[in-house]
Amino acid sequence: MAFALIKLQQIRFRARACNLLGVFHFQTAAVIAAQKMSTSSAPIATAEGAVAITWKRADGSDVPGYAFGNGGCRTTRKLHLDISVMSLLLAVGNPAIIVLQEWCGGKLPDALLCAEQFTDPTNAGGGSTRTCCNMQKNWRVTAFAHLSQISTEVRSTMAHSHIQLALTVHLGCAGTLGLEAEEAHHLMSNLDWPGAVEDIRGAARYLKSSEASAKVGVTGFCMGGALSLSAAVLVDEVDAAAPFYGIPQGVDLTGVKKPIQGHYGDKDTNAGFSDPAVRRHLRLIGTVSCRLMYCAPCRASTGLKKS
Amino acid sequence: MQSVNGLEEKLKASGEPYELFRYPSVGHAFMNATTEGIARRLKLGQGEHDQEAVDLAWSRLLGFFDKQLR
Repeated sequence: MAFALIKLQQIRFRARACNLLGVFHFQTAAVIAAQKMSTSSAPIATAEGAVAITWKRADGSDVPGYAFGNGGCRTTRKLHLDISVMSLLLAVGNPAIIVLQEWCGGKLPDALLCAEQFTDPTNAGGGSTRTCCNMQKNWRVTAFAHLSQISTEVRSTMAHSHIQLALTVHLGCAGTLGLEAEEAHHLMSNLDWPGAVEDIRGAARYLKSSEASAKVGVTGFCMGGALSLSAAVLVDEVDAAAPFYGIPQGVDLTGVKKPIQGHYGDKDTNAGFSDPAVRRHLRLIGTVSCRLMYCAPCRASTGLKKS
Repeated sequence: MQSVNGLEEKLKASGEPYELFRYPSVGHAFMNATTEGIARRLKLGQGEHDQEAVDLAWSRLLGFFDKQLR
């Protein structure tokens, strides 16, 4: 028993080191950035170390994407972990988590400034921004933004995590190239919720089939939190969900089928989305503050009923 | 309209195991520990940054996945 515990500690330590190295090497905690752009089916980036992957949605359509961190993690594991540890890692079921986050531009709460930042490769605004720009200069603003924010909260997730694989899914933004502020706003307002849910399903299937993950958890922040809860209702492939400050509308949460761990701040003023109680009079204030914070309204209801 | 109180009722009705953690000192996006995020939250009246709450949430999250995914 004691031996087993020591081994487990070693696994955790090494898996954590593995994750950190992955982050360090690729300067992104993003593992999979799935895209479903209407104008192009080409993968989003050709970043060093990325592994091109494709998964299918329930409707049979392909979602092209790239795996980053897991590719790096795999390499690191080969280099630094001996076979016995590797087999132990597999023995514990290869658990994986999917991490979701929509736009939360970390810099300025203004879509236009975010757009400029994300589309100007000479802008050294931040490591993650630069990395994204290097990956693909004309990538959609919304997609950049996802990765930009992922680099804070999700990077922390990975840094804290002993779970060996984390996934980030680009929350499917159907639509056209969104470089203009108005359009970026429009894209976020009209986030393809059923599509995003299907992307979570695809990611979970991918993890279970290609990465031999016995179980897949999902967590997310704000809109990603709302999507995590949606996944606990709608995505059978997900085994547990941990939403942060987001609650979806248009999905019956009494139909939750997986264990949930929710995290919400009592001072949250985003009424009807993540506040402690419905506060009718603060509804407008909540919407405005959410919009300022994320450059887009946190509407979590669009289209979910369809799926 | 949904709220955390409403969510709790629904999770209870679902019959699935759930934990709902509320953090009294913080507001929306409290896990975002970037300087910009902290400043913006203050400006928008979403509470001050509380690293203790953040650390607690991380530890809970990882404990949850550790339990559920193994």
